[in-house]
Parts: sequence; C-alpha cells; structure tokens
Amino acid sequence: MEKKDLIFTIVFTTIVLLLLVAFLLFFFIRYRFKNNAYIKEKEAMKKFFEKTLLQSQIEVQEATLAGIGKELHDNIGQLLSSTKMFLGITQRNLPKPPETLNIAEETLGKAINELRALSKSLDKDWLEQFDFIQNLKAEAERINEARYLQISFSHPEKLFLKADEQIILFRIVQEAIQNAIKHAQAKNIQINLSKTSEIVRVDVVDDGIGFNNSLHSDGLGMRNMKHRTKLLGGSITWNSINAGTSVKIELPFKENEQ
Amino acid sequence: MRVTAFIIGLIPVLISLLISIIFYKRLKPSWLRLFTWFLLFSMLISITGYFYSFYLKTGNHFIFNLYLLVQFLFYFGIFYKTFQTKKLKTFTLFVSICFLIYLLISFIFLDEFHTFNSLAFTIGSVLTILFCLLYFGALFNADGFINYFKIPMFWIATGILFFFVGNFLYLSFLNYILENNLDSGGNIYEVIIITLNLLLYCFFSIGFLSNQSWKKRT
Repeated sequence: MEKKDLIFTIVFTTIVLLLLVAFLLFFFIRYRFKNNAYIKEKEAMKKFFEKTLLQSQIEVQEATLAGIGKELHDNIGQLLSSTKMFLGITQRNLPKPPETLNIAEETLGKAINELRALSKSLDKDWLEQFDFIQNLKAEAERINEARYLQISFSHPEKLFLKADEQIILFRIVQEAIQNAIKHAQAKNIQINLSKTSEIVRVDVVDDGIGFNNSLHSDGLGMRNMKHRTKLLGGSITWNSINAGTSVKIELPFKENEQ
Repeated sequence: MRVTAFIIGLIPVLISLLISIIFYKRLKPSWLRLFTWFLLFSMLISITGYFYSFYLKTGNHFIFNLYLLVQFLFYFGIFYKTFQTKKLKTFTLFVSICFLIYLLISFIFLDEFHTFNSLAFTIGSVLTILFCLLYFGALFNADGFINYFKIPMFWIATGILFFFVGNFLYLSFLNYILENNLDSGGNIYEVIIITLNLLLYCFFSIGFLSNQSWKKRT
C-alpha cells in the first residue's frame, strides 16, 4: 500500500465503522421498541384479565348479597310481620295491655323497617334504579335514625357515572362506613362527594379512634375496597390518626364519555 | 488548524456547555453535573491548545496528553457510576487504575509527554468503546418497559461511541501521518473532528435535555 493510500483507507474505514455503529444502534433501538410494544400488550392483557376477574368476583358478591336481601325480605321479614300481627292481636284482646308489650310491638315495627331498608340496599335491581347519591342518602338516613352516630353527606346535584360503577362505589363507601361504625367507634362521619372534569372524589372522614395502617392494610374489608377501586381504575388511600380516619377515593372521570 | 475550523469546532461544545449550565440543578442523576465541568475543561483545553500553538509556533501535544488523561478517566468514571452490577463496576475500576498507571509510566519514564501518545489514545478509545458496548449490552438485557430516548446516559454513550469509533483510527496513526505528511495542513482531520465533535456534543445536549425530571408535573 502506498503511503498516500493509507489516509484514504483510514477515512474509508472510519466511515464504514461509523455506519456500522449507526446500523447496530438502529437495530438495538428497533428491538427495544418491539420489546416495549410486547410488554405493553402483555400488561394490557394482564389488566384486562384482572378486571374481568374482579368484575366476576363482584358480580358473584352482588348476586350473593341480592340473595341475602331477598331472603331477609321474603322470609325473615314475613316472620317478623307475622309476629307483629300476633302481638297486635294479643294487644287488642287484652283489656289493659302491659307497657312492655307496647314497647315490644313498637321495637318490632322498627326492626321490620330496618330490615326492609337493609334488604333494599342489598338488592342490585333496586340499586340500579337509583343513583349513588340517592342510595347513600338513604343509607345515611337509615343509620342516622338509629341515633347511634351521625352521618353527614355533602354532594353535587348529580353524579354522572355508569350504574354498575355507582354500585361499586357505593359498596366501597358502605364498607368505609361499616369500618367507622364497627372498629373506629366513631360518633360522626362526614362524607363528601366532589367531582372535577377529570376526577370523582369521595372522602369519608370519621372522628373515631383511628387505626394502625401498617397492621390492618391486609384485612379483608380493606382488600375488597382496594380491589373495587382498582376495578374502577381509581385509587384509595387511608389516613389514620388518633383523632379519626379519613378514606380518600379518587376515580378517573371523563364528563363527555358518560 | 485554521481559525474558522477552530471556531466551528468550538460551537457545539459551547452549546452543550450552555445547556448543561442552564439545566445544571435539574440534571439527574446528580453526577451528570460533572459534565458541565468536564465540558468547560474541554473548551479551555481546546482554546489553550490552539493559542499555545498559534502564538508560540510549537507543538501543543503535551496539553492534549494531559486532556487525554482527564478525558478517559472522566469517561471511565461516568461508566463506573452508570453500571449497575458489581462485576462491571469492579472491572471498570480495575481498568481505570491500570490505564492511569500505564499513562503515568509512559509520561514519566518513557518520555512520551511531548509527543501525542497515539498508543495511549488507542488503548483509551478501545476501552471506552468497550464500556459503551457493555452499557448497551446491559440496556439490551434489561427487563421491563424502557424508553431509551428518555435516558440521558443512552444519548451520552451513543455520542461517545460515535466519537471514539470515528476518531481512534486516525489518531492511532497520527504520529505516522504527521511524520509522512499524509494529511497536509490537517484538512482531512479538520473535517473528521468537526463532524465528530458536532455528533458528540449534539448527543450530549440531547442527553441533558432528555431527562424526564425536567418536565414539571402539574
């Protein structure tokens, strides 16, 4: 090789090497793009599968609850109504019925009303007839009537969510209320429903004893709430201090899609 | 090297330096901030080297030998910080120490400080290319969803790879080329180095700008 040719060989080889590097990088990036698309597809499938699974679980739960509600209404409700009727007959047959009998009849009447309300709230068909706000209002009133604790509920005029989504959200809030009653010994529960053009938010705040988040995060109730929220594509967080617990539920919401 | 070529060669490094200064505090991971100082150092070396040779009409190779030492150790250090596995980190550290020892020996004992150390440059270039390939290999085998375009180091490594692949053949033969006057006036090298500088600093700039954490979350 002549000396002068060396410089051209160097330049030529350099260009070839640079093109080779560019070529390799191109395939490297292309491979990753394909891999990323595959991962995305896999994740989408996984999400779809999880959603379907959760949907089925909830449908089974709803069917079970509806069955219990029907049983409460048709069987136990009827038995209680008959008992009330017999009490009434006894009351009328006695010249001076004892005060305890009157109280028993009155208490039984209240129990029947409670049972009807409860069976209604468990009935999916009934839930589908009403929106979330109406259902929650009725639930709050039912609990307030017992005078054990006070629930206040603030909300916008209407909540534009699909019926099945409203049911799931209702069940989540129901669970939060139950937790506040059963475990937190709360005296007041404040439920606030708000929405923006992108988010529906429900805050359930109680003044109970609170709980240790790290110890109770695996409980069945909380897991159900998480699952249900996940099904709706939202998020749920608990913030508990000694002076009470606040549950924040946020769901994605697109006004024009509803 | 002519003044115009010198100025054209400086523009990309200056732009890259300005970008790294503007976004200095937002550069993540924080060791990327070292690039600002490195770019400043590179620019000062280029200016010093040029004017030293221009005014004193004498060889400036010792300046670039010094730069060679800093440059390779800086790149090795960057790859050391980037590598995730202990194996690669240890290898990088070992190679860096060996390279440093070799350079010091060649400068002090072999009296190669005042002529451009082609062999040291070739070894350094090959090692840097090797680190780039190891980095790309690690990225290639990484699990999960990865968007390369949002990783600053991906762009930086790409720039370094192009620069050294394009540079190392010419500079490996530099002493031979100079002795035989194969590139009179250094015209060919001017084109090579301007193109490679442009590529290197463009990729650096994209790397600094591609950092996800810069986008303010609303």
